[in-house]
Amino acid sequence: MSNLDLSGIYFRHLTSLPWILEDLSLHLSDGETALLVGDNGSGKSTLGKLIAGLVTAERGNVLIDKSDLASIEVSMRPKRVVYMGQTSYLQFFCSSIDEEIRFAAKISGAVLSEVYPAYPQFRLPDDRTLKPMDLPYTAMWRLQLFLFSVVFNPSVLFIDEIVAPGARAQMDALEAVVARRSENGQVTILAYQRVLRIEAVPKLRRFHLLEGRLHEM
Amino acid sequence: MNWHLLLTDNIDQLDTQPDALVTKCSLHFGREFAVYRPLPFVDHTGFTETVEEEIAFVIEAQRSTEGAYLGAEELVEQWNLSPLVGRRVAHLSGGWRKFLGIALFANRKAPAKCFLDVTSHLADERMRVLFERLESQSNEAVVFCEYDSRLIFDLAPTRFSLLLERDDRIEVVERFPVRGATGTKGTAGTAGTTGFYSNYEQS
Repeated sequence: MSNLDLSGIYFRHLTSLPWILEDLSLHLSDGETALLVGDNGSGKSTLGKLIAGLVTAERGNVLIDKSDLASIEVSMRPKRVVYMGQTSYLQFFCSSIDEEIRFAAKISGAVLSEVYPAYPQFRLPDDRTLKPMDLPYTAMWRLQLFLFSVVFNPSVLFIDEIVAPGARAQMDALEAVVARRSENGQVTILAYQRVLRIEAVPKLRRFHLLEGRLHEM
Repeated sequence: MNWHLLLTDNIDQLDTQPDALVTKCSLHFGREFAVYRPLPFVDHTGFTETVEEEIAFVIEAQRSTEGAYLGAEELVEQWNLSPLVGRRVAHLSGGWRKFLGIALFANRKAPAKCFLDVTSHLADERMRVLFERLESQSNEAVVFCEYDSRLIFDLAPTRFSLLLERDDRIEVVERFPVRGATGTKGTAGTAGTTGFYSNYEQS
């Protein structure tokens, strides 16, 4: 069962600038999914990067599965926490879909024969020799979702911005991921500018990120 | 000014291969449009560092061609950009970078403008400011090309003429089809007499 604990988080980019996150706390566990809704610049992406250890809080604690994030070796973090950024497709490294999957499996220690069966659920091309960057924009997002949710399969997954939430393939893939993760007891966080309709997701909690803090809706 | 809303079923075309859509628009209206393309977060020219420098640079460039509606100070004030002026463009959040790009694009004195997928990445307040500013300009025509129409209906201060992309052409319609009937999941809402599809909940 996965846990995410944030307590008393303070973050700002420079000491001369105002706090972006101010005394922010959040506890998610046991298959909970959080939808974080906030204005542009409210700190959604910053919070995701902070949870993944890509930026560091000036004060406060980040615990993943009851371990201090700072104490988790960087090479071990992808199994514990992953941040899927707004421009996630810029995180492709390889010249074919298959190489990309193998690369992710190598980093995460995933067994290929265990991850491939989930591939068709993401409505991705059967031809895995295609270049990831040649895929349509929405398919690139689903490929990244597959890599992060199935191959890395971390305790905590932060998905920042959902590309084309009005498109059925996008939401079908997302809802399946979130439902499976919930069933497995893993924690998922979705960040978006407005409240999204998400179906078939148990244990969904909604938060408004306002003035540096989370307010449950 | 005439406001048009063009609904397309092809989200990938909207975001990554919009040339065909723009061509159809030009053919339909019989005119050329200045086009805002939603290249994610590449709105920064790369020649400047801060927001203030970026605004001054772009407006200077616009003035040497078709002209700009607002000078730098007015643009900062009227587009609510003052909290950002001293910051580096690269340090802005994704949505604010996109909004800065939209503000600078909209400030061009082009008589006809076409905006592709403005709703993604932008919070409602940014959308409202965009609509207000466009209303204050002397544009002859503005076209919004979108996949999901509900936000535009909810936030825009005006009535649109509705256009639907069908295969190789654009059709004027009285209402948009409800996508639930054509295989896209979601709920149909109401906006006047207009059927539409959206995955956003009322917040």
